[in-house]
Amino acid sequence: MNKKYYLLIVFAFILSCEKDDDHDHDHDSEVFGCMDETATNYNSLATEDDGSCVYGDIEGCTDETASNYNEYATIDDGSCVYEDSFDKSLMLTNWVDNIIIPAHNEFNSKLSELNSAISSFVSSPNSSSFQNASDAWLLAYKYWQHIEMFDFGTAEVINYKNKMNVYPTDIDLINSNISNGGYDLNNNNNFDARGFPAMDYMLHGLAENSEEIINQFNSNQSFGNYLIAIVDNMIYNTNLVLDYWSVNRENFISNDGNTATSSINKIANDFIYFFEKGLRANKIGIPAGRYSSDPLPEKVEAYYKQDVSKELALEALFASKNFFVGNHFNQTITSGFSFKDYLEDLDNSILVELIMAQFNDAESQVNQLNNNFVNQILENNNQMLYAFDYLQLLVVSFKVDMLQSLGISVDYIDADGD
Amino acid sequence: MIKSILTLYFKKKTDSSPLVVFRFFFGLLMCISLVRFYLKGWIKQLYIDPQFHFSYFGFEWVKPLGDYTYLLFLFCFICSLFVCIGYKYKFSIVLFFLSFTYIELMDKTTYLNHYYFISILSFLLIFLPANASFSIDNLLSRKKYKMVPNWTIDSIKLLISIVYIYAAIAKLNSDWLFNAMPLKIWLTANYDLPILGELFQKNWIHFFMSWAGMIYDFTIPFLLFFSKTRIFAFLLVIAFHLLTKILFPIGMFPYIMIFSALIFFSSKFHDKVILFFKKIFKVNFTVLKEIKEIKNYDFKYPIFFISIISVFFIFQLLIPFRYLLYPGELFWTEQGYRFSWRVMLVEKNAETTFTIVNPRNKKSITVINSQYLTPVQEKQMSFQPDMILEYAHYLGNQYMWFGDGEKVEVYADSFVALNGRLSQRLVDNSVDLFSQSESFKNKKWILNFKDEIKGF
Repeated sequence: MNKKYYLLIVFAFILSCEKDDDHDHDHDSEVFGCMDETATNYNSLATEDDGSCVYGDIEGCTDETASNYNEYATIDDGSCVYEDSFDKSLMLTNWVDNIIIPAHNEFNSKLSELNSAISSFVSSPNSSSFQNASDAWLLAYKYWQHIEMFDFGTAEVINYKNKMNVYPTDIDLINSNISNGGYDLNNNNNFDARGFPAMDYMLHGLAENSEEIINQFNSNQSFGNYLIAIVDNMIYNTNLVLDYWSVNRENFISNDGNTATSSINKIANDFIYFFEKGLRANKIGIPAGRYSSDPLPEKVEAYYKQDVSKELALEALFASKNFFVGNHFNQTITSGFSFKDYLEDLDNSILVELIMAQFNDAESQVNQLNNNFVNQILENNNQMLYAFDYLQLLVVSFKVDMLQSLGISVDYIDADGD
Repeated sequence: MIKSILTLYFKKKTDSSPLVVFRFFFGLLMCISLVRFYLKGWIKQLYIDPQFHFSYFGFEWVKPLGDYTYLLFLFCFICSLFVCIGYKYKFSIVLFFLSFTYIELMDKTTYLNHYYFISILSFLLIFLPANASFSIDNLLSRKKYKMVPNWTIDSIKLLISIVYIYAAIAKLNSDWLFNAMPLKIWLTANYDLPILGELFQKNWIHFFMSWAGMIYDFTIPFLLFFSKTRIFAFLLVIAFHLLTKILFPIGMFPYIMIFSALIFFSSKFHDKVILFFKKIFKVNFTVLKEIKEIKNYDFKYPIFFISIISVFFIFQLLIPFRYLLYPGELFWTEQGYRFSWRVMLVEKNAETTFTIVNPRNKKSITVINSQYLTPVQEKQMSFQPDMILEYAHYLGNQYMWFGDGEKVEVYADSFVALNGRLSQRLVDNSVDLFSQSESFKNKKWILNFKDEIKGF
């Protein structure tokens, strides 16, 4: 031990010397800032005007105790953030206010865009309206990857993820629905004939190429009707879930105990389930044939669009990492409390570092894959299996190490211990 | 000299009341336990629903009986009711022991130290005259016994003391004493308890509780033994076990230990208990007068009984140390872990996946455990090597079709986190477990623990 410390002390000396040098250097150099005394952000120390002068009121955080205190702000815009010590209810607040609800709202607006794109396409099927619909579908599908993990409350009750994203889709069922009519897509008999995968088939798999697909829609109105029924059903269920979150925000935050039904335990289990099943197994493992004697490329997500399976998988990985870190929805910089901070609070920074490294490795492994997983599987399935193995390491870290640290049981088991 | 002391000791008589009150509460608590087990839906969940059951080595023939398992529990319940009221006691305690032990042997997944305690305690009770008084048998035979050999009561005290002291010895390890593990994890997780929750976040509390638990286990048999400290000790017993009840999903165990501790109390105390129950049940005293009170209960073959019980205790003293016959860290390999009063010593979380390989074309397939195991089974199997092996064999047979006529290979990849350490591999994932067989020998395919836990 003493050798290490000795080195450390010597190193610290060297560093402190360097720091001193820097300081001296700083002292000589110029200070950039606003030099106009009439400006709100006049900086009396500035020696060089950098054109940053602002006049009138500046909105920002005016509380000096906040970590994002803005000394030039004159109007408090409620943006103050406080670097508190870790607190479970702050974590729950961050989850619901900065991640869950924004993600659902954003998804909902992408779904509205998809809805209007589909309407235009169905009312006049041509190559530009087709392209718009296809793009809107992909965009909404990407946003979906951020909310599939929240199998919570109404989403769990109505089995939201089954309404939205069961693949492979059953094309025979879709075709018989279209030709027979009278289908109720909300009925669970149609679990694999609705949602994003069914729409994928309708937009990209009905015929060989987009021209022929557009022709199909032009020649037979029932295709358009089915497409609209799919999007209507997605909107219907999404609204139910949105209603739940708008009403239950407070309950979610106040339910901060450690029981089978408390928010932290449920979210932890949902998060891990999504990572293990929704991401690792469904997107990579099953199509790569991990659970079957041969690979099953037809089980790739967005099978008919062909070239976006990697994009969707990366999005899901990004969403998982962001949630673990506590980043606000779709942001990589602003963050609040989440599992990462919880683990650090429990003195388990080693695990946090390990998980972050595993995320990076998994990302780069998935990144190396072909944009179209079908091609990847057919050309070199071993690459798919490697990616699976890297994701599996994260499953172990979450399920075994993280849950042990947090004292949360996997899907609450009701039995005595001794 | 020693011989005469022993002869004298074994001839010593004492009032039968502590023994018979013990029998009464034991039977009563067993009744409640079994009803609770049924009401929780556990008979179905643990013994009927699973398609596969983990057996104890040598007891593979003990299996749940399908829907008749309910009848087995009913039978066990009736036996414990009869034990409680002392009806055909000899018969019912033997049948209780057999049926209860059968239930426990049906699936290793549900092994708990306190079930084992009940099994061996009921075995001991077979040899004790626990129906000497305060029993229906007295009414039937029209005789009861005032005094029983002192050693009969002492043997129960000894068994309880062994449980406590061996539990204390097991706590003498670096994880428990110097890292406050696994209590640190469990106490911290109880943050939602009123008042205590806040306290349980404190580091010193984790250490205090660990050390206090160890000292409690060591001293409680002695404190209960001496009359001066007995009341204090009993209050400690209540406080300790109720605290564990609040903190952990520990079922009936706290109540069983609290009532068991009453055996240390004097016969005067137990006479009062008996009187209290007689008042409650409004026993007709004229009937009781017709029962002849015989002063001493004498065994027909005392040497035979004493020998059996002595052998029983020698085994009890030795079995917990059988782990010394195995290399490696006990908490990691779990070779010799069961039946040793190692209570609440480890927090383990694990993930174990199995891959079936066709030896001919090297194709492989990963097993989805939830297709074969219940969540409880999967959790327990994941960190116990003997269960991993047994399950691997089951899978090998299930996936026979995958081998194109050849015996498939089964590999396990197991990650286990022990007492807050980062998870590490438990078994060698290059060893075909289907070709390994279960035995009492050391399992060479268990990987070494990459850390050290000092102590017992």
